[in-house]
Amino acid sequence: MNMQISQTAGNATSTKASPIHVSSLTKVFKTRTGDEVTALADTSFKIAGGEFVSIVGPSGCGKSTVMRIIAGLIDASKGAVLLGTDVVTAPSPEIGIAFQKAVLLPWLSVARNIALPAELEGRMSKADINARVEQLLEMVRLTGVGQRFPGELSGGMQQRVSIARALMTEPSVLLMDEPFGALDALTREHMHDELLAIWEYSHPTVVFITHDIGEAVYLSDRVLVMASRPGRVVADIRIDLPRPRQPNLRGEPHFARLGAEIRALIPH
Amino acid sequence: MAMTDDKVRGAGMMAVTLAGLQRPRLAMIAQQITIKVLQLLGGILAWEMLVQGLDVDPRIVPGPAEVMRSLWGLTVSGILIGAIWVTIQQTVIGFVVGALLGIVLAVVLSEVPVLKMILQPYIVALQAVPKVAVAPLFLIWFGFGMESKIALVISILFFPVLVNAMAGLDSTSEEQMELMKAYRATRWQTLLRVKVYVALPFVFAAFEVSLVLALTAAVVAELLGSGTLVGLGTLIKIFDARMNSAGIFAVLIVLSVLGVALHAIVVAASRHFLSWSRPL
Ligand SMILES: Nc1ncnc2c1ncn2[C@@H]1O[C@H](COP(=O)(O)OP(=O)(O)OP(=O)(O)O)[C@@H](O)[C@H]1O
Ligand SMILES: [Mg+2]
Repeated sequence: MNMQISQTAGNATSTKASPIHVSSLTKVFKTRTGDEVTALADTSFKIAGGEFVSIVGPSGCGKSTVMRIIAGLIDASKGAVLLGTDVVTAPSPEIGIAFQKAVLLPWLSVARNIALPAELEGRMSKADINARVEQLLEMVRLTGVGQRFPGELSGGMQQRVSIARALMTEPSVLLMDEPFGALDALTREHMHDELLAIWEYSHPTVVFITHDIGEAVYLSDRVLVMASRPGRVVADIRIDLPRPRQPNLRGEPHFARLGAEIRALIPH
Repeated sequence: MAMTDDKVRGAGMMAVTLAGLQRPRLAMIAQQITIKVLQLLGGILAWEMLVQGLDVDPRIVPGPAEVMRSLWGLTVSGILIGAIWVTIQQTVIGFVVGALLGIVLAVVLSEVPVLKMILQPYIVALQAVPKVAVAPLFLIWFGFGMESKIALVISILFFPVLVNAMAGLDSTSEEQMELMKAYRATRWQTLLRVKVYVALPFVFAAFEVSLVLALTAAVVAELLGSGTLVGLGTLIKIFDARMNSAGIFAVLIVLSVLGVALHAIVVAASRHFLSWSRPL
């Protein structure tokens, strides 16, 4: 039964993954001193179902805020987000999310941390959960550390655990906030190819926030560039590099050109 | 030739370090035990010398020899073990019930903020009442058996546990709550999988402080209204009536050992259950 579900999910998601429609989103935060911070001002963009879109922009321009609104974690002050045909008002079971910080639960083993979304959902059997956790541990190159505790891991290892957790329920919409920020260059490149392999396999809709322009170009179909004060999208660059992406792509002139183009668009 | 020399020397050095690894540890343990024993003997000696030198009336401050004799007598007669059992029962039952009540109420109050708002002033007011002053009431309500003593233990323990557990349950981070929300955890799941663990260090801190308080409460309750059962507090009262200070000293020594032992148990339990909270 479970096998069947994951198989149909695997085959059919390229048409099933929901599009995301962000329309005229405004978010005003009230700070503790009573001031108002406009984190987002009238931001609109569309992401097709199964598309891989990165968001880049200077620190504090509202990237995490957009993601948290899409995830249904916080409300917008104005505007709305459509996930598929539904207005987002609360977190959806379709979504897997990797936060900017790892946010692991220190009292749970690494394996139980990864299994958390499935355990909360309560639909997978114990055996399926364990098998999936092993598979994910291997994918993020942490085979054998499943029984250790988060406090015993390095920052980069913790971040990979949180990525594995985001993938646990095979979400059809994947939101990732600087997921590879704490990784060394080699592990990072390995994770790029693993993430792309998952994406090629089940074609989830991906929103990927990063400060690394090369990473955005290498992974994405499109790169959205944001500016701050107030936070908004100022450019939308299509990455017309062939798929599947290969590591040697990083050395090609067109790759460098796209990177330079995006870099020039990011306000300093 | 030179090489073999080196090898021999190398092997010799290895043997030295291996033995050296063992020796300091054993030596350290032996040294610590010696220090402890000397401390104890020194204390007893000083006690004896003070009592002798100042020529203190043994009915006021008995010497160690007399106290040991009294302790021995209590032990062989079986009175001591019976009294320990009574007092330990009161302490432990009171501790378990008080802790459970405190934790359960903390959970209810933290889940139902309205109730917390309504009850908060009462909690503050009740907490401020010196519990020992309520002991006579407990005697009236629960009689002279163990129940009234257990009631006092509960009343002393309940508030520190309640207050700490409430603080603990509220000490989740925004990120943890956001994580649980993102994965659509129910309230119950958030409570059992996050809040309870976050509260655990706070609750154990309350336990560490209040277990010795619980023992004190059990003894005080017996002093205030001893009844059918003879616990350590009752024993003190009996010796007091007979002006037998050696007996009182003997019971005090037993109480001190019990207090230290109970505290050690809580510390060990907290080490065990909070092992995850100590980063390596
Ligand atoms: N809970 C909050 N309360 C008040 N202000 C907030 C809150 N969250 C975010 N902000 C403000 O909103 C703005 C956008 O924050 P956001 O976290 O979305 O930035 P970001 O683009 O993700 O930055 P970074 O790249 O550094 O992670 C910032 O000015 C920030 O101070
Ligand atoms: Mg951010």
